[in-house]
Amino acid sequence: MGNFFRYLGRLLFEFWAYLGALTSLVLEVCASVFRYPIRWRLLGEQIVAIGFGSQAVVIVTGAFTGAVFAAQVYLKFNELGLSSSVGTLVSLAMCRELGPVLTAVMLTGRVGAGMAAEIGTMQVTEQVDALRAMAVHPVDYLVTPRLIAMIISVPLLIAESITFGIWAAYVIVVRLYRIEPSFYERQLVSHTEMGDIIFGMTKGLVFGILIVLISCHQGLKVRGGSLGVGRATNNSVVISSLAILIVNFFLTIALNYVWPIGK
Amino acid sequence: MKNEEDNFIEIRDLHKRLGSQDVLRGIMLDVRRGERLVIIGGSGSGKSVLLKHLAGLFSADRGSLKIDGVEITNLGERQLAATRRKLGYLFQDGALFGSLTVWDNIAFPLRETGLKDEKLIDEQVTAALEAVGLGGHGDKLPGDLSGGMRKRAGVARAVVTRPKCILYDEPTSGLDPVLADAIDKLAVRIQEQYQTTSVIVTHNMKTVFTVADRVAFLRDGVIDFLGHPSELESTQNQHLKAFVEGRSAEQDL
Repeated sequence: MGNFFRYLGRLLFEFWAYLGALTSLVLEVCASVFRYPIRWRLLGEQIVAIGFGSQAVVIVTGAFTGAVFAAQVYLKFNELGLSSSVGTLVSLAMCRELGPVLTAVMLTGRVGAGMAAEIGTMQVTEQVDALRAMAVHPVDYLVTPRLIAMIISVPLLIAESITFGIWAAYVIVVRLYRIEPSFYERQLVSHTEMGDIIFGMTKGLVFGILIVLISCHQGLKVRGGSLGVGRATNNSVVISSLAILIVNFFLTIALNYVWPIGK
Repeated sequence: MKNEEDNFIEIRDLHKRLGSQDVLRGIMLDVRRGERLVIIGGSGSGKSVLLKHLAGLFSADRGSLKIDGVEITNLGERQLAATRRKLGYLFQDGALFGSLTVWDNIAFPLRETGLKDEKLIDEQVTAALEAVGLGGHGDKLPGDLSGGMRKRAGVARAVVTRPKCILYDEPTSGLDPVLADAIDKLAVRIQEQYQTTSVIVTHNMKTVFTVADRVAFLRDGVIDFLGHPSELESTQNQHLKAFVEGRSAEQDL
């Protein structure tokens, strides 16, 4: 029993230490963004890597999620005589939940893991020390451009995911299940508010910031050669994914006060 | 009696513990302006850790470390920038940025000092590449270079901003004797050309005799010997004697 409490205590201590380290990184990033010049070339490269490089992943994820969701919902709604409402449900689900959450989870795997691996490799090959030795703060060079690039890219990626999800759902219910297109369109437009879109974008923005901070932090604290890089990459995906799902719950509760569903 | 201002680096009672090991246990050392000091010592004796302290890459647990008259042990990462700009650092494997070409790697510290004139940058990078015998290799990526070429590119990056002091971490490790000799001679030439202070950490005794004005022997976290290379042959320090002769003691086996 004593061992269990010791283990629990250590776990809690490590959790608080981790939050402290992340907070310290946030403060460094804030100082970097507001007090030191932006590296425009690096920012451009990161926008291409994060935004442009994630196109295929985001489009495929959005489209197939929308299509599958529509197919599942249609069968039940048709039984209940509500088949024209499929568009509403797909739109709300894509805007408020599926678009931001699934896009973020995919970005965790594609972008976050890459960041942790790249920075981790730089750490074990002394490239991060080389930056420091040349009077370049690693946060200014490695974290800030990635964070700003993510903040710029993620709303567009989420908008893209939502658009392709709704379009794929349209194709399924209109072409495959032969629902009258005007029903689908009217329901979709009349029940989707600007608040639903902002709701999703806000979530995406928070998730994007979490992915960059967690992944860069994992990369910067790598020790122990290639094994350490592998562990950091793995940790960045696991921690980011869990953080996204947990923060999503609290964000949903909080944002529902600002942009309540259906109002 | 040497004046304190003659010293570019002053280390007093420097301590560092890493994990459960006391790596540095009261280092006392001065490096004079314009001299080439070579630090030798066995593997794991803390040579690289000491060198990293000089660039502020490690923070000391206790003691004093002055670079060009500035106490750096209590400075934060951003406050260290001014001191670091006075230093050039050659890492063991070059630590070139893998995503940049050799040319961009060498231009990097120049751009970081705020130099905007691309023509001037081009001139200085070309001169640095020529100085290390890598003219014509500027457009290659570090991954396409041999170990010796990476080291030489690292030297070019360390000297391109004309720092007051260059820190070399194992500049000849992993190189064949001819390349190692070329790197040693390069270190001497750079020091003579730019009048820089040089601190060189190495295992290689040939480097000591080719490069050193003075040599320091690091053992058990303290400086166990400090003197002219010619004193090494007549030293009564048994550990140093064994190290110089490359002879292991019975207890090392």
